Amino acid sequence: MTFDEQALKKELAKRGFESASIRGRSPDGRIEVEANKLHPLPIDGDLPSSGGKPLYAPIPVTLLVALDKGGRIESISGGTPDAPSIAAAASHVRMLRDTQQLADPSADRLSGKRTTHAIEVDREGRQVVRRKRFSIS
Amino acid sequence: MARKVSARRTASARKGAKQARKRAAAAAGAATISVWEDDPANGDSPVGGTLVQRPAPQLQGAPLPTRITNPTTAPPPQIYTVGTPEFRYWAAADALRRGSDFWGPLLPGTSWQVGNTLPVDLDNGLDLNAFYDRIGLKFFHAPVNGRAVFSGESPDVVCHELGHAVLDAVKPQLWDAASIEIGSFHEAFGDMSAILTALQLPSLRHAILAQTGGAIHRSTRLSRLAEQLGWAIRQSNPQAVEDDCLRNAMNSFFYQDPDTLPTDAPASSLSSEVHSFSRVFTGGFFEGLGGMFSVRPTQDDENLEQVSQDIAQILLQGIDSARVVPNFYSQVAASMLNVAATKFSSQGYEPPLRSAFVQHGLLPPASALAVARAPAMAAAAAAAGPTERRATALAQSRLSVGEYGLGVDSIVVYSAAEPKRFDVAGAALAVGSVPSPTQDTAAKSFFEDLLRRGRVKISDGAGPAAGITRAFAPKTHETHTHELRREGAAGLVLRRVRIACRGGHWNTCGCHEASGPHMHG
Repeated sequence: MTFDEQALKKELAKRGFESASIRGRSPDGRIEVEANKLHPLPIDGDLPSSGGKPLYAPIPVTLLVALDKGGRIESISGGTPDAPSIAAAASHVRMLRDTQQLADPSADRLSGKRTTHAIEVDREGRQVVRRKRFSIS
Repeated sequence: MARKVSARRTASARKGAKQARKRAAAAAGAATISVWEDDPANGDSPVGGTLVQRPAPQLQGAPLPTRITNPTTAPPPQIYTVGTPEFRYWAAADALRRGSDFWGPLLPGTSWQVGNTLPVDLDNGLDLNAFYDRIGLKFFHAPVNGRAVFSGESPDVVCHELGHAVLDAVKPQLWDAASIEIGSFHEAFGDMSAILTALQLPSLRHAILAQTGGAIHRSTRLSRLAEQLGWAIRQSNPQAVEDDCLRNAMNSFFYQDPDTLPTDAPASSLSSEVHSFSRVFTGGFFEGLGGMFSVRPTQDDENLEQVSQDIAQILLQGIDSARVVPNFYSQVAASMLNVAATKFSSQGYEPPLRSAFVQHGLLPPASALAVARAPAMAAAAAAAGPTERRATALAQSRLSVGEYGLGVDSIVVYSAAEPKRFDVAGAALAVGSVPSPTQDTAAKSFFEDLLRRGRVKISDGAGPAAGITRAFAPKTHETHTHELRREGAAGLVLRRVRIACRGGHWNTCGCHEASGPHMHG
């Protein structure tokens, strides 16, 4: 069965799967997708302050999508970050903070010269670590 | 699906390269400009770059069009004096066009994340840096010791940033993925982009071949990235960059879980900061490039250009197939080996690439062998080795090595001389020490270390692990320290044959022979 790749990505985006890419088909015909999903990082004193609220980060996930005959999403399995990925994301945010690559939320966005990331508040009120740019040093 | 994309890229790559050559020929009638080959500086000096004359480029043409938005108007194309804004404009423009012409044919149908044309700001203000921010490329300037340094004047810097934009077009999921290894890979790709784009210049290829005698895996201006920017940063922060450049692809950094590394460190050490950690992958890649070139029929200009395009295809297809997971380095490395083994089997690229990845710890030897599934290099013939004594006084143990593809399940090792060799434990980066390995684990660790460093010569009849261990062995003299020899009923026995006078690989100095078999190096 063929499907509209762009329409599927759009539907997945509505469900919180960002930057989705289609990897292929599983043996049972479901569509294998890679994407990023926002997930809260463990709250601990070692991560940048977010006022007691969890800090979210986009974490890579894999999911299997079953479509109905009309090409609409019937079911999704997977798509939840595993523990190593969450731990890796937390390490990433600590590294960004320690190396001044995470903009100080109280200052102008990207005010620091080394900053590549900033904390943004999304439409759902979540504080999310987002990349803003790549630098050469 | 990924395979179809890869096949399309492979098929179109040669056609694209031909088209690029046609464009270059067409541009021959264009005005001539003067530009840096790779950087305004050479080594630890702020100057000394090599100038080359080139046809004035058309930035807005396919593939992968770019547009310089600042300054808003292009100066008339002609040869300008170094240090003028006009010179800098055309130096950047040539690098942009060269980068697009290199990557574009390998990525048919690909467009920038920002749209059809990538905007470029050559002077966005005061800084010693450069950015890609999904709006465009941004370069800066800063006065340093009385000299104005413009990051956009360096083709290395321009092609690094362009590389970010290329990878973002190919795999946009990597942009935002919260992972040190993924962010580091993006930085490595930028550096690899600078190296591969530089190799598209015939004059630079000639210079590197002349300097290295064909052994391109050396520290040269090809491996040294952004010498002038590195110099500028070094003036205020000497430990932040390497001694003669910003980063050097010729390095011996070995993979470690970034979670076990400090978050920041001097350039001489590895940290989990993405630019620092990127050097592990870039180092493996650069060593792989050198190894792949060494197996070409001849080590000349034409073959160097070819190998630069082949490794770019292997890289892109490896990225395409790789899973986006926290250990992204090993995913890409494994995928690249598989591409090299299956799609470039006749070129013999896989063994040297595998050797490079193993030597930088991007893949463990056994895994590298498993993913590649390539035939072994010819097993090294047993050398007419040095005089040796029987090791009757040494403790003998049998080590399980089935996973290394030696063709046997176990080998015999002797370990009595300095048992502490196997009993040490390093300090953990956080608290305490790492657990002490058991003797078997330590012996295995030692043996695997020998494999990684290419220090084992394997006798006839061994399996494909020879491909891991000996890909970079010089043809003129021996540098291995141990041999696996078949000794009657004992089977394969690990014997030391010499002590190397320097620990790192690419040991070019002489070695003296050991008088007896010891396991410690």
